Amino acid sequence: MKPEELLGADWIARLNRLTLSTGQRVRGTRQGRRRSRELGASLEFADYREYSPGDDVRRFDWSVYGRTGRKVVRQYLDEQELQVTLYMDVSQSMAFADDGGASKLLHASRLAASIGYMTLAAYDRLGVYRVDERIGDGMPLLRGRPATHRLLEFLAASEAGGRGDLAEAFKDRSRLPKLPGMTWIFSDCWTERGEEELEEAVARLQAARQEVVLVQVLTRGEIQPRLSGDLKLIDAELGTFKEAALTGRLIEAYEQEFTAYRGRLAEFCARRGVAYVLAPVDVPLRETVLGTMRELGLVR
Amino acid sequence: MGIGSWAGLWFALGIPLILMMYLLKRKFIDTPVPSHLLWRRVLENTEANRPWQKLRNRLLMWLQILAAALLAFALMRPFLWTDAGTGGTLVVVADVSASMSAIYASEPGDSETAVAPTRLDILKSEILADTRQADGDLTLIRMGGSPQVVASAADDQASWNRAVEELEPDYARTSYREAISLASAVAEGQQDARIIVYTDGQWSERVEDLPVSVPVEVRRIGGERYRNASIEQFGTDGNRAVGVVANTGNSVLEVGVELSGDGRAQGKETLALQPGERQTVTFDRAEAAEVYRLSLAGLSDDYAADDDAFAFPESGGAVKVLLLSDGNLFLEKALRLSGAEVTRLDLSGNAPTADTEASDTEEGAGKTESTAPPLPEEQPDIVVVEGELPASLRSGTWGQWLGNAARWTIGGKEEAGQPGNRRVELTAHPITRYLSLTEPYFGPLTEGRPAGLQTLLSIGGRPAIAAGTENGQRALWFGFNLQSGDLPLNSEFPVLVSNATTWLSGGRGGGLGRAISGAVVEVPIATGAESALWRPLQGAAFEKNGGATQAVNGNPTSGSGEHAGLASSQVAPSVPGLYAFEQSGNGLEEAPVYLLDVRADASESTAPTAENPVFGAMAATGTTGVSDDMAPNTANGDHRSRLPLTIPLAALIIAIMLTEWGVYRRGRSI
Repeated sequence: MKPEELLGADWIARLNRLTLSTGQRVRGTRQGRRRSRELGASLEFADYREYSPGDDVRRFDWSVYGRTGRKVVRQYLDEQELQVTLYMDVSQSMAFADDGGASKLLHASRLAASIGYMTLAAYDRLGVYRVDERIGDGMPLLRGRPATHRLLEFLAASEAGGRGDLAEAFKDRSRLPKLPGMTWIFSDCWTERGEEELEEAVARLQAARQEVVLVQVLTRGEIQPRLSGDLKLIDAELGTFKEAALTGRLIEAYEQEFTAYRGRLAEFCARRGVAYVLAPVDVPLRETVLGTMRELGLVR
Repeated sequence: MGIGSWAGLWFALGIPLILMMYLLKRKFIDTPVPSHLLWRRVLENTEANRPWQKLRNRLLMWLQILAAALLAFALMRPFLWTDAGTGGTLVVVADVSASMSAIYASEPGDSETAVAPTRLDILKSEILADTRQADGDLTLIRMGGSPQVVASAADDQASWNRAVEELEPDYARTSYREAISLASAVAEGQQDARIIVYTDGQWSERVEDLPVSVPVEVRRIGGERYRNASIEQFGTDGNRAVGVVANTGNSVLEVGVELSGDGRAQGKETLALQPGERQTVTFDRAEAAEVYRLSLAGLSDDYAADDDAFAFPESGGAVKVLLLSDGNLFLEKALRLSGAEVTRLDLSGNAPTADTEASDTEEGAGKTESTAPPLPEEQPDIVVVEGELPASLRSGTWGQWLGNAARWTIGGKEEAGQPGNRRVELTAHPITRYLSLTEPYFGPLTEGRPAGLQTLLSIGGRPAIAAGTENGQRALWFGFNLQSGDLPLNSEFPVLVSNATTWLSGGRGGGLGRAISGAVVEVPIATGAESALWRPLQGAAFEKNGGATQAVNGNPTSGSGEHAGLASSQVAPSVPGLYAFEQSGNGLEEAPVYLLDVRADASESTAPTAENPVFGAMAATGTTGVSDDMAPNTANGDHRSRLPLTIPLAALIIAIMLTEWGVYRRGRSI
């Protein structure tokens, strides 16, 4: 995977006109471009307040004083940076791809690069981590457009391998973001225990005051399997296998089961106020970002 | 629906074999999947990993199994029962054995009606009813004494009906096996051929082992009840007549047995017979008669052909000749050569030497010319007197006795005047047939030529041999002494004697005994007989046909018409009764007449068996089930035939295989 594969030039031009949108006002540590819950030094007027000695005279409103003789100061909203954290699932299952198509990892990396670029372009704070059984190494603090190159290199350097266990990984509170912010999880959501495990992981992130976005990256073969005959189905991560005579009815049953699984994911996400995005590998990046994510209000 | 061959079921073992092959085929392809999460749930629900699970929804396998099952089914040769007359060759075998002339009595009291139909009538109407709708080829085989194809492939309904209507009972010994073999041969190789046998089930031959390759159906004719009494044996011994009467039916009968001699009733007895019982009736003091008849009177039994029996003295053998002579070896030998039974009575007074036992009684009785010798026990047919007849024999019982026989007088006292020349002139007569008599020297002629006799041979214009009728008996006179000439040494002498014996014994026939109708009987054919006929005298044949005669076939070996002789082996007439064998020919005015009692085959008198005949081909090929199946069907009068399903099944299998090919090509497991 090369860094330049992740973001094309025209796509970068498109991303420049987009920003991430959060449902809540952020509270960062540094000045940023995000509207904060704090009152601060932005140009956006918030309220008037009685002058008290020691106030910055630059904010004294002479016009009001001239008209009414009252001494008031103008208060402005503060604009702070947004803490955005990207978690990239790099378990073995992410290495799968459709015939001749991109792997799930590559697709997820492109999505992450897009989200990351948008973050950096907005002068927000970005953290990127690889996740398998636990939260692996990452780039904890990226800020500003120039950091794009580092982001891409980090993403391009990821390789799929090993087991994945999201619930276990997010148990480690020390690796969770300290500040409230936005967390994106890029995963195929194939876990050992299924939706229960995912909900647990999401709950831990929400406890860390994160606005979670769950992006499920899947190949088309996982949504609509094209298998037939007597097959020994080997789990890529666990190594266990199941023998099955795959018939049309079985495929049908799988598809039904997949729909149900997806429905349960969407259900708990909706219940918890978590955005859930299904991003199949064969759906173009542009469509996912400009279509699905914009519809969900994640991107403006 | 039925099954032609249950042996084909063995091929059904191929079905579990195919299943085994599919079950044992455990070849899983390693396929890594990202996760088991969903697969586990799916497989837990559908249990697809169980061995038989994979058998589901495998169209190819089901098609294969279907094809194999159909194949096995087709090998079982299934067929559908369809109504008779749905195409195909139909071979109708009509049983016309004597028992078919029995009255069809389905219910008690039927036989008492005036015009009760016979089984044959029912058979005809059934055949006509069954074949009215037939659209295939029809062949009618008459199962009689010799099987015969009466109508073959007759598509014309009128001629078929005529052929059926013309069926007559055949009283000969029925050849059931031959008829079935013939039917099988006719049906062989025909499309959808089947054989229907119409019979009363009264078969004297077994046909189980007969190979029949086409389906045979038996339609039973005749009811449960069968009333019949049969005269099994009848004979006379001098003045005593003995008969054996049996009840061959299945109900108690009271039978009146009537004896008549030459048409005059002589006695009657009444017997009560249980089913299966036989009784002997004896009539003592029967009046002398030529032909005795024993008949069952006052009885209306179902089967009439065995109700009469005839008996007559069996005198058909040798001609009995009483030779009154001093001893003439040549004459005696010549008489014996002609087949006569010679008894010589020595006129010189010595004891008669005889070659029959009968003449032993006269042994030791010294005779003079004045005392007549005792009469021989048997009445001779011909009396040959050489020389002069002694006076003692001319009158009294001897005279009367000799008057009943044909007389041949030879020689006597020599005549004084002898003819001037010895030129022999011959007149055509049975006695002079084949003879020229120019060579021998006859010696001096004798006197005493009886008047009224026709001269057959004259020497020098004087009669030497004359023949004619004297006192109602044939008479032959030789006007020379045999000792005086060399005629006995001549080669023509035995022929002359033979001719003389034949002519003198002419008109007197005898009994030929008893024969089964259609059988071959040996008949002594008179020399010169050109044609002959059987004339019914009494019994069923006479009553039925009103005395219509039945011509006798000529001897096929003698080709030319002029000398067309008759074979001594003749076929007895077909209808039972008493017959006379009458011969006629050029110069054969009075040939001997022989009597023959023609009877129906005795085995036809018995009651029909309960079960139908079983045909052997089924047993041979191991498909006895079919005939077992068939029996109840036919008993119920179920008129059905078989429509084989093999061809539609084969077409179905081909269609399935084409479907399989399509499925295979699409490469889907379902």
